[in-house]
Amino acid sequence: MVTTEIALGLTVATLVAFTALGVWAARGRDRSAEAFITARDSAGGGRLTATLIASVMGVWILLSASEAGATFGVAAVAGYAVGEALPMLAYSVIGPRVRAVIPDGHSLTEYAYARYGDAMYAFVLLVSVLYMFIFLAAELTGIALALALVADVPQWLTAVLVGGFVLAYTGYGGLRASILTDTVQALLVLPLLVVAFAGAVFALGGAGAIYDGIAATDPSLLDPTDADGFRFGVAIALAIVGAELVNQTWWQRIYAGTDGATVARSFRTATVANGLIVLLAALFGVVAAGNAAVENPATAFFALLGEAFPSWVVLAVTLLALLLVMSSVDSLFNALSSVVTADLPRLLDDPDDRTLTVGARALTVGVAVAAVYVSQAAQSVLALFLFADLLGAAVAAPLVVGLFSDRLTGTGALASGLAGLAVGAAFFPFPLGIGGALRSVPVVGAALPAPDGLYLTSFVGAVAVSVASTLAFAALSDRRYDFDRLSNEIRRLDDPAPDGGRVDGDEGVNES
Amino acid sequence: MTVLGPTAFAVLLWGVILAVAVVFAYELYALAGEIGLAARVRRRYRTGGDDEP
Repeated sequence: MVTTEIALGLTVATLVAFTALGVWAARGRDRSAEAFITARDSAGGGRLTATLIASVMGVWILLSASEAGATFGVAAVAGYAVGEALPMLAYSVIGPRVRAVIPDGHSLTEYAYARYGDAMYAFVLLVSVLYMFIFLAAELTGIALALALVADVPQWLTAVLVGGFVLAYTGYGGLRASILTDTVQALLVLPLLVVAFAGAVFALGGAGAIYDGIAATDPSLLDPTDADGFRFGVAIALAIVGAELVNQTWWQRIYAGTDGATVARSFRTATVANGLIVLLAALFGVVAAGNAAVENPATAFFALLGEAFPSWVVLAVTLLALLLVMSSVDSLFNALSSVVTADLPRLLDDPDDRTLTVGARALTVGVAVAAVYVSQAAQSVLALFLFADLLGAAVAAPLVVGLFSDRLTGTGALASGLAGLAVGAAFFPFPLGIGGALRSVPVVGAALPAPDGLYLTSFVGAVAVSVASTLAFAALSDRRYDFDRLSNEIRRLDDPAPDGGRVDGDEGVNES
Repeated sequence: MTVLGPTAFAVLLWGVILAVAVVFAYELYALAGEIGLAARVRRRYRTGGDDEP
């Protein structure tokens, strides 16, 4: 058992070291709001790949990925890994395109506004902010839960310490600090993953003994064709792809890369890396289910740790969990503040750079305080997470297609997103009595189908309807959008467009 | 039910651990190249230790 004092000491020492590194990274650099949220053209292939790995690899890989493995077995493990890899592969195509058509951009919401107008902008803003905020709160909840399980550290203390220190260097150094700390964190996380998991295999008596434990407990966990595992695996893959396509973290890094080719190469490398990391983490959920007394699948991996593991393995995993949380939380702090900061020139009347910089920092503080509070109030955010994923799955297709097709209008994009959401929500198993309340509504309630507890119908429905509707609207439209408008209307924060990039409805779409 | 055999499971488990180790080695190599470390080492090797700045 690791003592509370040792775990807290390790936590504080790690947080102090990375805060110092983040502050050092930003000292003497460009302190403008533009640099704070974009770090434009600053990261080469190695650093960009590292931040693509570190930003998404949060403590969730030790909690929810393991939970999927422990509950549904190797079929769900494969789905989780594919789901995490596919968005990176998509961005290897989307990234260079974004840089080509919006060379001075910052965020996906400003793209949505310029390309589709007010209504789609509001929809995308809601979906993106909701997803990132839930991700952030879930990370703080996760590390608080993990340290409480491993070393009885009070949950509020962990959340406040992690939130406070990460806020200090992210609020000071912005995206540049986040990318540098991500790079170092990735270089520590990868070997720690290998050492901790290899150590766990040896501690459990080798792969053969682990296999025997799983086969004796529940052999269906080892069945790659298990129906429930397959259904959940496909659903989670669609959920992750949809959600990551509205994650501002990636849009920031598209601009942080030195050029389009570097961005494409780094996202391709991250496709392999992130898929493998999630495969490993989720596979250990299967290992835990067969080799430890798992009362709660959500903490399956940490239950495995409690099974007489050597202290050094426990400490290594504690450090790993902390690094995972820091690397994703700093990215999310900055991404959330950048979404709003990029829109400030349009919302305020010609603000100067000092106003924008203060605004960006104030937003970062606001996000941090709210996330720490929510992480303490909501101990389980899985259902919220999946609903945010559903919103992302519904809106992703029209957002992406609009980058490549000049025929999709704002009305068509919004209708496609809403149609996908309506179908997905009809099958979604809403928690907290919301589903029951919806079904008690006269006429509507009777028309609703039974909810799918494995989420497959919900996510397949949302994605299929959204994609089909988007393609249909694009095919049937006789209008053409001039992509040059994007580069003309979306400008750097220190060089705003005269009209702030405003487009009303389908104004930017011309009759052919 | 088609269950993975013990050998396939062992290959999967160790294969993924090894693959993550390879990703780490690649990332280390890429970063070393980016900060010019690889070029400095090559130069040092060619010049027998007289590393020019």
